[in-house]
Parts: sequence; C-alpha cells; structure tokens
Amino acid sequence: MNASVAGALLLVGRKLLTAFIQLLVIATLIFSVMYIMPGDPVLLLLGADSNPSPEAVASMRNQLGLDQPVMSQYFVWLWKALHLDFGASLANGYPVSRYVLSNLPRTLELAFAAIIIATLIGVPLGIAAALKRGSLRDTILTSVATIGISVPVYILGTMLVLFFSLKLGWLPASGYTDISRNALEHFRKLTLPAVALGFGLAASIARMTRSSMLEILGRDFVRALRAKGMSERRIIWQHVLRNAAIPIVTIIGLQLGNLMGGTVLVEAMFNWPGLSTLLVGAVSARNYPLVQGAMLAIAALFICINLLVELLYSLLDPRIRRKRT
Amino acid sequence: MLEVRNLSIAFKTRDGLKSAVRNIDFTIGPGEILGLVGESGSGKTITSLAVMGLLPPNAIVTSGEVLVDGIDMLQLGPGELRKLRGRHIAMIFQDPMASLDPIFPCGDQIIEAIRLHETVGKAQARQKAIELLEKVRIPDPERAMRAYPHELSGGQCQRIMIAMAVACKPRIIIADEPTTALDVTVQKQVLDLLRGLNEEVGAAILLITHDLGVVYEVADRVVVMYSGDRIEEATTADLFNNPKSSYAKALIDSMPTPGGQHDRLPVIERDALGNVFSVRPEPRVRSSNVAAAPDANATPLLEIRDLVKSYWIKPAPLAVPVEMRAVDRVSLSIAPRSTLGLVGESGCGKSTLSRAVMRLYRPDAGEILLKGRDIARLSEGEMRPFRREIAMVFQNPYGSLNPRQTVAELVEAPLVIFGEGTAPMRRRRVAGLLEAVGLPAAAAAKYPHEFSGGQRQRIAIARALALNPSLVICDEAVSALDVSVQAQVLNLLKDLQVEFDLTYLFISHDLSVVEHISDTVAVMQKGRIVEYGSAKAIFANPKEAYTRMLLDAVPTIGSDRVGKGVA
Repeated sequence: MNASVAGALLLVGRKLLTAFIQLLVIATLIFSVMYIMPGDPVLLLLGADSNPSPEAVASMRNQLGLDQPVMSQYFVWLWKALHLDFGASLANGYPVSRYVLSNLPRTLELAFAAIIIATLIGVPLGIAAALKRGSLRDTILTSVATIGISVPVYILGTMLVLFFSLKLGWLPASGYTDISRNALEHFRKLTLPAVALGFGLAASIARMTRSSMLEILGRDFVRALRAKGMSERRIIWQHVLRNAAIPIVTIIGLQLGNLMGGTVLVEAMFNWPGLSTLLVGAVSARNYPLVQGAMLAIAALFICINLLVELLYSLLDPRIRRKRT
Repeated sequence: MLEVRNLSIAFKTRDGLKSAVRNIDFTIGPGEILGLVGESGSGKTITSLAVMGLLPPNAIVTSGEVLVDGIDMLQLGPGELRKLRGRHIAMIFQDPMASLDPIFPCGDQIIEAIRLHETVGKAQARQKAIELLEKVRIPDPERAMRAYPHELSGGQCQRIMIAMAVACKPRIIIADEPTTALDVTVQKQVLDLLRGLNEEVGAAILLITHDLGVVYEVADRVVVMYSGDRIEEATTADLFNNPKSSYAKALIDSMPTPGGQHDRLPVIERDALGNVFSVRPEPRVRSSNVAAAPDANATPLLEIRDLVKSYWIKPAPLAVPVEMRAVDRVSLSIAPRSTLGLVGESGCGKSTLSRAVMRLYRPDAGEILLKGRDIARLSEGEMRPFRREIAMVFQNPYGSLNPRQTVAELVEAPLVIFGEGTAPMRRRRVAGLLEAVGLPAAAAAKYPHEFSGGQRQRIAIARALALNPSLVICDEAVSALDVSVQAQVLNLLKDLQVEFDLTYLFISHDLSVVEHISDTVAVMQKGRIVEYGSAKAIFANPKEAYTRMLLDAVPTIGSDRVGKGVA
C-alpha cells in the first residue's frame, strides 16, 4: 500500500477510535448523572399525587428494569443506546429515538444556516479589516465586531422580530413549517433565528480572520512573493488566505459544535422545534429517557463535527498531514 | 546597471522621522558581485528593500534615486514595479524555509514564478522548473518538485529560492544574508553556486552580509555600512589588505582569525565624538591569588564515556520504528579550567550531547562523570546537588530571558530556586555578578528588552554564574551576535574563566570562534566524535577528511578566494 494512503487511513482510524471512546465516556457520564439525580421517575410516571400502591410501584420498576443492579442497568442501557434505542418516552411511551431523529435535523439545519451566514459575513469583513490595518475602515469594522460579540442573542433576536416581522412584516416572527409542506415558508421561518444566531458568530469569525490574515501577511514568504513580482491581489487570494484558513476553520468548527447545544435560547425564542427544545421540555417534565437520548445526540453531533474539522486541517495544511503520521 | 544615488531612508515614528540610512551611493556593473557589509542595524537590509520597492509601510525614502538600467525605481507605480520584480531584479532572502509558502509544493512555487513573467504553459514551465533545479544541483529534482518546504533541508530550500530567483534570468540578484542560516559546508556550496550562476547568467549580485569571510571569498567590491552611513567602498582586495576607514579596520580586526588562538580579540570602541576605533583590551587581572593554569593531567572535571542516546523514528506511518543514534558512543573529557570546543554541522548531535550532560534526559548507555561521580543514572532528586555545578548559556539571547522579569529577578532566579541566602545577600550577589559581566549596576532594575543582543547575552552569562558552577555549557552562545559584539563576549568568557575557575563546553558551528576559545576540540559528525585532540593540533593538522572539509568550507580572510567560474 502507498505510504501516504496508509498514513491517511491510519490517521482517520485513530481519530474515529478516539471519537468512539469520547462518546462512551460521555454516555457513562449522562447515565450516572441521571442515576444520582433526585426524583423517582416511577413515582413521577404513576403520578406522585395519586399516592400509588407499593405493588404498582414495584411492577412499574420491574417493567422499566429499575429493579436490576446499577451495573446491569448501565450495560443494558449502553447496549441499547449503541443500537440507537434510548427507551421509551415516559410521557407517552413513544420511542425516544423517534423524537431525537425528528428534532435533530432541525437543530442541524438551524446551526448550519447560522454558520453559513456567519462565515459569509465574518470572513470578508475580517479580510477587509486586515488589508487596511489601522485605517478608519478597520477601526469601524473591529468596533462593530466587538459589539456583535457582546450583544446577547435574545436582545438581538427581539430586535430582529420587532423590526422585520412586527414593523415591516417581511418575515414570520416564529414557528416552524416542514419543508415538504411549504418550502418557501420553511425558509422564511428559518431566516430570523439563523440571522440572530449567526450575527454574534460572524463577529468572532471576522476577528479571527483579521488577526490570522495579519499574522500571515507579516510572514517572510509574503515579502518573497512580492519580490517575485506577484500582484497583491493574487498574493492575498492564493497564498495568504489559504495559510490563514487554518485558525479560521478551527473557530468555525468549534462554533458549529457549540451550536449543537447552544441553540437553546434561539429555539425557545423562535419556537423552533429542535433538540434543545426537546431537551428543555424533557428536563422540566423529568422525562429521563428523553433527556438521556437528547443529550447523547447533542454530544455525538459535537464529537462528529470536531472530527470533521480535524480531518479538514490535514487537507489544508500539509505539515499536519505528515506530522501526525 | 544598478545605481543607487544619494539614497536616504527614514522610519516614521511618533516623534517624527527617524533617519535609518543616509546618502548611500553605490553602483553595480553587469556580472559584478558587490558586497554590502555591516552589523545589525547598519541599514543594509532596508537599503536592499528600497531597491526592490518593498519598504515596509513605516519606512519612506526621503531622498535619492535607485536607477535600474536608467529607470528610477522610486518613481514607478506599483504595476510597473511588479513587472520589474522577479524578471529584472530578483531577491534571495535570509531564512529560506520561511521564505517559501509552507502549504504549496516547492515545484508549484517555481512554476508560479516562471508563469508570472513568461507566457508559457504549465507543462513547459514545469519542464523549465526541473531544469532550474538541476542547475542549482538539487539531488532528485522530481522529488524536490513534489516536496513541501518543511520536507527539505535549509540548504535545499535556499537552492529552491535561488532557482526561483534566476528563473526569469534577472539582471540583478539581491541576496540578503543568503547563507547565514546554513551550515558552513552548505554555505560554501551555496556561495559557489551563486558565483557560478553569476558567471553563467551574467546577473549582477548585491550580496548583503555581516560575515566578512563570505564577502572576502565572493565579492568583487565591498561597501561597508555603519549605522546608516556608507563608511567605505573598495575592491575586496584593497579593503582587506588596506582598509581606509578605522571602522572597517576595527571590524576586520575583531574577527577571530586562524593562528591568533589565545590572543584577546580587539573590540570596537567609540569615543565621545562618535569616532570608531579598535582596541585590544588587556585581560582582567585576577584580584586574588594567581590562577593555576589548566593542567591537562589533572582529574578531568567532566568525563564522558561511551555515551549513547537514541531516538526512535518511523520512516513510514506503518513501518517499524528504527533507531536513530543522535549520540553514538561518545567519549571525551574536559580538564578543570579548560575549554572544550565541540563542532559539527546541524543535526550532528551536539545539542543532544549537551542536553544529556545537563541531564535534561537520561542517556541510553554510557557514563557521565562529573568530578568523578557518574551522574548518568541519578534520579531527579539525587541530581539536584549536581545541577548547581552545571550551567548553560543558550544561543538566542532574545528567547532565553523571560521578558516579564527584571534583570535582577532573572539573575537571582537560580539562587532563589536553591534557597540560597537572604534577599539582601542575593541582591549583593546580583550586583557582583553584573559587575563581573561588565554591566552597570543600574541594569538590575531594567527589563531584557532594554538591552542589545550582546548585553542580553551578558545577562544570561551572569545568570549562569549565579550558583558558582564549575561547568558552563555554551550552546552557540555567540552565534547570534555581530562580529564586534561576539568579540566582546568571547573576551568576557575568557576573563570569567580565569576569575571564576570555569570549565567550558563550548558548542559552535563556527570553527574560527572555536579555534579562538578552545584548548581541546572535538569534531562531531552523525552522532560520533570523528576527531578529538588539542585545538592547536587539530587546526594546524586535521587528520580526518571531515574535519578538513569543515575547515576548508570556512570563508576566511587571507585564504585563497573562490576562483571565478569555479562552481
């Protein structure tokens, strides 16, 4: 086998193994947190106020497997989780996986939309600021970015709703329409939450782009490219930007990962039925299997995205490609 | 061909313009190599950048002309300048690895340079790039085309840069310290190559360097610069045989030269009027009793026996790791109060050996006897009393001093670590050490950035001496310094050796420095000591072919110059 192909496979294999172990650790943590949390799900399920008979409680425990030793409960749960079986919702007996699988794509969609908006705004602004370092343009852009980072998402969201839906009436204030039912309405409803979420991210991406560009622009090889007689535009687009991309990709990837669990406020505000909405509802209802399922899904997404970002580095930077192997 | 007339450059600062270069004049004819010599801060690099039209934004040309074939570069717009760069004037930089884009294969970067100025197809440009690589004598040009800069050695990267520079047959090549980052043997190859290309392509070369030896061997004429002024211009032979200015004379004097082994180096002094002259300072007299001369028969202070340290590296991702012996059965000994010079090219294991002696890691086999006791296998705790016996001075005086600590804190740190004395006692000790290394007492309250490179190295030396060590390891301790500063630090090291009964393990790639300071010399190649003996004997009569090759590669004043056309 070709050494570099073997090296690449080995790298991917090692990363996959690490990701799996991380997931296992998280699953264990989630299980133990739920186990030691106060409140008896059985009483909750039977209705604590109705004062259920000990027999009914015992039979329910048996039914849920809660009378088994902890370790055996843990392994049964883990085994099922590996098969995407997170048990049944305590509220209505529907499988948890059904809820998770229906809400997960909505959160993913919102997160990706936000990141795309953030990247489309942040990267060009960062480049523009870096190319005119110290100018008025740079100062204004940098200040706007600082404000963007500091404005909380619920304030920005409220302002967006006030302006675009209540005042101008262009976009719906909240809600969700399935794409198969009405695609246009679906995207109209996606716009405001995605912008609210993406704006703050754009600010930090712009700052990272700016500082990363400035760092690369100061490198010796940029001077060497100028000495070769290359045009400034080509130096920026072909060489500087590609070198500056690595920290930018890092921060975009990290933010995307964080969004998996970080959409809570926006989902609640815009009534977006994603994973966070599911999780918040499940926590307040003490619907333990649902909480576990949603948390595990969020963690798994986070790990997958980080894995993808790390693999992307190797594509961007030949030095990482060779060093890791 | 290139004519610089009355060029003045200034830096914009908050307090207005600060002059960097004043009224520089020089010309280069076709096929000529002009050396531009000066110490750091003399304005030589900024002059070259002005010629290329590449001045940093904070620098401006205040007067003068840069004529390239009669066209004033300073009057050209960015587009016209760009067309001249690369095609008419090319540049080779100091740090070849940093001057190549790290994320593109080297071949692509050469092809790019060709296609910037010539309308040729990719395949044709590629063919031309390979021919260029053959011309700069890179082994396996096809592989070099595919390689990324970090996969090549510094010398190979510089060849790539040279190939790129000559790609469009420029009329003028500016080489800014092209060999400073390279080993002597590689430096020789690169200089030969430049000289050969100069013959072949007919390009004029402006060679900027601080190394007088390099200038002596390669340049036809020399311009000497000092703090922004042109001090002297002469043909190379005239400059070295009969320097007219006192500065050039002082600069030449302060280089350690073969033969002048135990002399003190003259240093450059400035009087109140700013005149420069060379003085040979008297050695400091030991205040107490007379120092005993190094005794070769005494028990060695440090004795290394069959020391081995290996690294395990994987040649391919799935391959079984193979042993790479960085230090391979090395044996040597250093008598008390003497200096052992350890020379070799980069990667030969010098630094690994010195770190093993410091016990920064445990050697795989062998013994390290310090004052007769084997420290090779001592535990961290057992090692502690020996730690104070060994001190180290590093190469980079900028990187080895914590910028957030005052000089007093830096110098007393070893005392604090070993819980030595009370605060007032330590203060007195710091004052004494600063005096010993020739720094004013007021230095104690200052921070490292307030000092020049040479002064910083003095601080590092004061810190090394804080615990009264017996062995001081100097790892390329003067390599980062200018010649005149280097002379001062070398003199200081000699003074301190007598004053504090020090034994030095002096690691350097610079053979003339090693010859100057060492009593015994060990030549290291690929982890082994290939030649070991008294400095006089080795430099007068090297037995090993490798030692001879190293010695031949050193550009020295007075030696035969590289003949024109000899590649």
